[in-house]
Amino acid sequence: MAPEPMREPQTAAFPATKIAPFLRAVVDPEGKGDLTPEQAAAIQQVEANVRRRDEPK
Amino acid sequence: MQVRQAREQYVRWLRITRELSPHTVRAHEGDIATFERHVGARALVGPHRWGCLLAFIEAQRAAGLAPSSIRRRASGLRGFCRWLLAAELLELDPWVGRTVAAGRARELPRVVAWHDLERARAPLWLCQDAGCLRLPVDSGGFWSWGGWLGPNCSRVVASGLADRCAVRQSLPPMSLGAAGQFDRLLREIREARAQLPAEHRNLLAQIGTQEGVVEDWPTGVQDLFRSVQEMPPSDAALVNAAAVWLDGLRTVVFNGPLMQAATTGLTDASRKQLVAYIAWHEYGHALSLTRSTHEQRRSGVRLLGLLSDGMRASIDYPAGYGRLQVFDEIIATVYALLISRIRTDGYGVPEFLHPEIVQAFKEVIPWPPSQ
Repeated sequence: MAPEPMREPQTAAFPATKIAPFLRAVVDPEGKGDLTPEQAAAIQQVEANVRRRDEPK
Repeated sequence: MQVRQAREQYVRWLRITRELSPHTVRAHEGDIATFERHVGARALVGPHRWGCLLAFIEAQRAAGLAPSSIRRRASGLRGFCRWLLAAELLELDPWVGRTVAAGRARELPRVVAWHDLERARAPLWLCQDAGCLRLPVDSGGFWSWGGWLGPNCSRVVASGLADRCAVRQSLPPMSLGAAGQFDRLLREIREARAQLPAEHRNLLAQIGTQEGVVEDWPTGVQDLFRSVQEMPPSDAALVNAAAVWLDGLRTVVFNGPLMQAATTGLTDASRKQLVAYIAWHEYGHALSLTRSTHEQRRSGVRLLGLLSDGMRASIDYPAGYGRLQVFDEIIATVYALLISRIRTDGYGVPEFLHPEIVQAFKEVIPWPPSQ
């Protein structure tokens, strides 16, 4: 039995580069800089992690 | 007025006022004609209630119609009822507050390496022709997975029958080398799901939403696409994705290695919170993708301009998303925000959310949830 032809995918991706901005959107939705030091540190850490991952090895 | 007469008028209205292709109009007409046959040639418009519509949907399901066709048919009837209401041929729209869950939950296996299956000596039936794996389950029936498990199949830590039935007894639990590596991530994602309001959890269950963590990204997720006969996105399209929604499997899969790299150095509490936020976003996204209409998606770019600065900055349009993807992103972001605030604000909606955003959100996701 011949296999069915593959359909076009319907994908919706959450890109790595969106992680930090999205975190900021949740904890500081109005963009006023109302972050606790812990939240700010966590977002900076995630940004650095994602940046490091993108750097050529 | 008879349903037949109303259908004819509706189709005429569609042709004149909507920019629909002849094919789409024919499809709508066909859907309503099918309903007309169900209720009888002389049925009148007035008496139709939700029970009648529900019986029709159930009959379609019983007839073996594909979930996608049932959803389209339900959508066609929904539009028809809206028109009847506007034309004052109906006093109440029977669809208000109702949803049709046509999707069947597709159970994902804990995908295992071929040699593990052999080692387990589980009684299994490999249907080469159908390209599926069949395993006996407690009920005495079989559990089939339409995907192809080849010798190089990917390992996926995913929800599925393996957690709940005899398959688990047949397979060595988590004896897959590094396969336990992302257990914690999957557990935290599921904990985040468990924190959602019961009504939303039920909706997700009706849609058949599942979650998984893929460790050999992007090959693993590409295999999942192939398993439902979908052409997988390229490596380049997937390599920087932290999570992807697979519509064919109704599953959100997380990129295990990327999530691990992104959360390195965070405290346990921060990492858990981050995972929960992303999971809530993805569940909101799943709800929006499966419940929003094309019409609503067309409003996405306009609504984006009404978002607060902090939220708008997280939606990378036009570079990151297409015009019709923006709406679902907005709903998903608002969803994560509202869920994250339940503990402090209850089900209140913050004032900085524009009324039109709130309205659009409530049209897709019940808020405040009823349960």
